[in-house]
Amino acid sequence: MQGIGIDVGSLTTKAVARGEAGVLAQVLLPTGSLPRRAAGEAYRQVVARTDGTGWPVVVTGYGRLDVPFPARRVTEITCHAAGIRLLFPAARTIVDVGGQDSKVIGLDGEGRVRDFAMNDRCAAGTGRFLEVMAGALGVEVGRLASLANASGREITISNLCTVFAESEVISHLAQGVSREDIAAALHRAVARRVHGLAGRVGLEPEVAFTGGVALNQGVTGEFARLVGRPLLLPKEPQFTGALGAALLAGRGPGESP
Amino acid sequence: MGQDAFRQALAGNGVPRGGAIGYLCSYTPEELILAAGLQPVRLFPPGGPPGPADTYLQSFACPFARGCLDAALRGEWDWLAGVVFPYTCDSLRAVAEVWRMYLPARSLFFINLPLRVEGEAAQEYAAREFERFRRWLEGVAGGPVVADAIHSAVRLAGSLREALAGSGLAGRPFLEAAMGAQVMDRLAALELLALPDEAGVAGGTRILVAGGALETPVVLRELELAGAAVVGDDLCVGSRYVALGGAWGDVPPPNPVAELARAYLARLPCPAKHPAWRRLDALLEQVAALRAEGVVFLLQKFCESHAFDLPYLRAGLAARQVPSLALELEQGTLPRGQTRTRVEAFLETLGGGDRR
Repeated sequence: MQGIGIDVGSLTTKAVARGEAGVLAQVLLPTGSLPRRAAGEAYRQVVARTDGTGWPVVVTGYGRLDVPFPARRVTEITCHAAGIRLLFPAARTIVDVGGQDSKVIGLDGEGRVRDFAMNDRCAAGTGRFLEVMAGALGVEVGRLASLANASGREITISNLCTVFAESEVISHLAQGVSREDIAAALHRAVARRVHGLAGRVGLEPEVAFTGGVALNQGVTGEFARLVGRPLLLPKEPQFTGALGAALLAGRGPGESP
Repeated sequence: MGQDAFRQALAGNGVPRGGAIGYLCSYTPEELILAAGLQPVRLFPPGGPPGPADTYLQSFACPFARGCLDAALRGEWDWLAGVVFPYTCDSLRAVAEVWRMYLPARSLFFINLPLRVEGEAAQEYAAREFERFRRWLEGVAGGPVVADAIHSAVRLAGSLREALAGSGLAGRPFLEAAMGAQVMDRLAALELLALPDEAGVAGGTRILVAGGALETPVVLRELELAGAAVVGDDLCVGSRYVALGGAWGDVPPPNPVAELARAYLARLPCPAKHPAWRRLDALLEQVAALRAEGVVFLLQKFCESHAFDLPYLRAGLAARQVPSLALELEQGTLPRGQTRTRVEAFLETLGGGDRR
């Protein structure tokens, strides 16, 4: 059944319209300081592209509680589970690293959420951490991974706190450590942090990695090394939550993902 | 029922201040305080920004202990005639030591309780400590604390606990009544509980909350907003306070202090005491009796006692197909957005999918 899913994240808002044939339209907008407005704009755009007026809507993400259109609210946990189940039916563990939080979701054989863990009130191991560090290194966040690829020496970022880690990065720079080595160390720090979080849920194969940070090959590569196996990576990982939301919108409330 | 009066009491209004003895833990034998003609007042940190306690406490002391010391150092509890700390956790012990050193004008008593609550030796030890406490209370009250007075106090406190247990209240209204009763004149609280019940049963997914001390029952509102109906608790400030066994008949026992010590050690232990397995059994019994669909642990940040038991309890619950979620309290509150996501996701997993 047709449905629209909207994921109002801390940095970006994503919308997906889905029909019997699959994804019909998708949009990605910056959330900005007004998540309600971003959600409304994403909805307007995706409806305009699909003539989806009146389609059921599920909204997820941190901005899900206040949207300017009728919608069912479902958490990111359940939506990511639904999205990954659609993309990778064999997945039993989902790692979702977004702008301001990271989550690890354990699935049972039917794709239902059996357990989950989230980062605790701290930006370590999130996209925001990488953004702040990219700022300290003076590069675009999208260039961090390629920078790290050129690393020739292993160093360690000891601090988990984003603010302290930024100070540590500045100290390394002041001591002449290369930006490449620092970038690689930052990726290891994020991957280790998320790997620790995953331990609370249990890392059962197959492991899917999603959320915006899945676009960073430095983090996913390091995480795959820690897990000891290749990861299932969506082509457009930032849309997984919205895709799952669209899927759930096409189903009735209470139906399993 | 007088929910407003209980809420008012928790806000500090109408709390009797004459001859008040503050206490910080449900292992305090409030009956002895009542028997001394004094007023037992359970102390809940009033909240607010971090204060002078940071100067004295280690960074990993729990926010509840820190909040208590902040209130004491700010002089907010200067009206107390004395304060009593039963030994449960190291954070509150640290608060007691700082309190003793920096607030010497406030009379303070520390009850050393055994860690292992089973066995004759533990009972003898606790009885000696309770007897020492009785004598301290005589000094504060300026008169003897006699067996008949202890007997009457046990009957009054027992009636109050029975009234709370039989009130039909659950969740936030129950905690308002139980916590409010612990700061009020006990007879007045008993009379409030006799009034007709105004509280309805909230709808939602049936959840049992477990943990230690809460600063305020309002924290349960975050769970309710996410769609949970809190149907029961295993909290130090709630059902563990209420569930003190050993109701006495008309004839006082030969040694009332020792009998009281026996009752306190026989109650369901908190995680600072051993053995822990009784807590798991009690949780499972409560889950079954209340038809709870899951358990939410509310833990004070840095609370080692509860955190130590948590993996054992969660594994034990999971083995019986009882899902659980752990949330951390900081300065008496839960972070709204993150808590909402965690609790809603937890409730979604209980339903096998989303429900809204």
